[in-house]
Amino acid sequence: MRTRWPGTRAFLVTVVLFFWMAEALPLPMLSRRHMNRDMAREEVQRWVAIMSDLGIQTTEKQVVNQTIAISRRSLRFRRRLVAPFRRVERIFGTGQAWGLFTYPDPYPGRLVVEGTSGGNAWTVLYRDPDSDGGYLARTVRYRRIRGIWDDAGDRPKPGKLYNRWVTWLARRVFADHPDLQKVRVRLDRVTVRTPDQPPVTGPDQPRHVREREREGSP
Amino acid sequence: MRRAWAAWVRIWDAREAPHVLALVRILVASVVLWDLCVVMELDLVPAIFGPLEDGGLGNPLGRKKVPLMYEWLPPTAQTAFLATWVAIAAAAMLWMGLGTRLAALVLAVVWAQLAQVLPPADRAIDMLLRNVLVVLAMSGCGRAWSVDARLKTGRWGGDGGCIPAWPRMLLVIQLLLLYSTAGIQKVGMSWTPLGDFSALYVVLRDPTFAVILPETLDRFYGVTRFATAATWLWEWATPLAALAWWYRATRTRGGRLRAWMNSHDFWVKWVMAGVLFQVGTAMFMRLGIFPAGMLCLYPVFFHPDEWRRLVEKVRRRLQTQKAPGRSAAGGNLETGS
Repeated sequence: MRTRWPGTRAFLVTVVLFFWMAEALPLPMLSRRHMNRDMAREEVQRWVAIMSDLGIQTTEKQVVNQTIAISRRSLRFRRRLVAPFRRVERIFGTGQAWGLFTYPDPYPGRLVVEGTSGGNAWTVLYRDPDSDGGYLARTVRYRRIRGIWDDAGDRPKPGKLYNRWVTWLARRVFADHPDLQKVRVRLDRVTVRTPDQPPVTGPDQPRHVREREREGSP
Repeated sequence: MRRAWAAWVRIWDAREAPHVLALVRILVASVVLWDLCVVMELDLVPAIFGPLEDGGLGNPLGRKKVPLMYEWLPPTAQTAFLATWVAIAAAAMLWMGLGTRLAALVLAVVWAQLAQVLPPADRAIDMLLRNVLVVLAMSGCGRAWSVDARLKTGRWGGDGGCIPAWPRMLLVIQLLLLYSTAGIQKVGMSWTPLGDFSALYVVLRDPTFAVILPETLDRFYGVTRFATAATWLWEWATPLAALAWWYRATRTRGGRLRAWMNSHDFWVKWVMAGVLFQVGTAMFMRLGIFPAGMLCLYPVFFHPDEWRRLVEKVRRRLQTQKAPGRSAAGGNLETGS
């Protein structure tokens, strides 16, 4: 038994390494949603310009379509390759997708939570990245909660999850602030420009604004 | 081919002291425990791990593949609490090294179930740590600094026996794979010379992660550009680091590149740059447990014998400083003269 085990173990390790590498292969996985973002549009414009300098004439639309087509094919290829391993991975929640800050976004969102006791006098309860160390700030900044609003809000039209999250957050705020009648949550669009670029004028653009009223309020 | 396979089998058949994996076990369990305690403290269990029907933000029952947790048990917030407590208990047992293998396995499985409830709340570091837990469950990480070792050998430190080295090697490969593919995927222009290396500046200005004031950051724009280039180069240098790791393990063999990499301690320098990189992310960005979760895996980069030598060296130096009169004797003993 002992004599066979090292060989079997080496074989199993080889199989694991193969699937790890197949899963980690840095293949493009971009969809139309990704390509519609401002940041993606700017990247595409730059690529078109670079290719034009190299003597390759193409349009933004062609680059986008090509990227999506390649992404679809590579995604299908990877799915087939790792299918046997995925069943095991599902049980243990393992995987190999390591795209960390792949495309830094020069148009990130700034979370702002406001409340009012009535009328138009809104009070800022939380505004990213300021923190008073209070319960609300700690909650929205906690990495798992941040994952929800950052992911859900990172699209032109946030869906059900964003709305559910706002409702949940509003309930918490109402519980902590009995005086408040309304809570407003938004993800303002910030424009980041480097010091050597022309500065941005004007405030952040309000985006994904949602309001919730206290239940039973008149 | 047969000789190559035999050499491959020998590599994965190596054995070593259990202390590095034991340390990683304790550190990983500490990070997971800390994170789960924050979830409890902020009262987030029903929201993150509960079903939509009982106050959850996710809709696990509306998905094609319902998490087993909600197939086998009632889909309620109570089930979410139960699973979270099981995860906390398993993490505590892993930390203590009590029923180590089972604790690691239970933690990985329950954590995976919780992760399926609301996927956006599950981050890359969660997946990485679950990968590590599965490897730890198959390792001898409970053979030292554990209740298991105490019960079996009567000593917390274990009986001094060796364990298979492959789990530690697999974890090194995991980290190398992570850093190399993360580097290759950094194709956004701002990471490259084409985009003036502004990536880190942009990330540090993102209100979601920001720690430094924009005015302060503007003054250090040059530093952020240098840090961007350094990060990008460091990640792209990971395949070279893998080679350096292999060369370090086979330093007695010949070859000019091997000799050059070993004489310049390429591996140590690459790892130290990684430590700096992770400490930097911890200091200048809000990334939750990510930097701590990464750093707690770094001990695997060195063989237990290397750690032992380092500890002995530090101990000797401290003793020399404490008792200068005895330093000469210590020196004589060391040189054997």
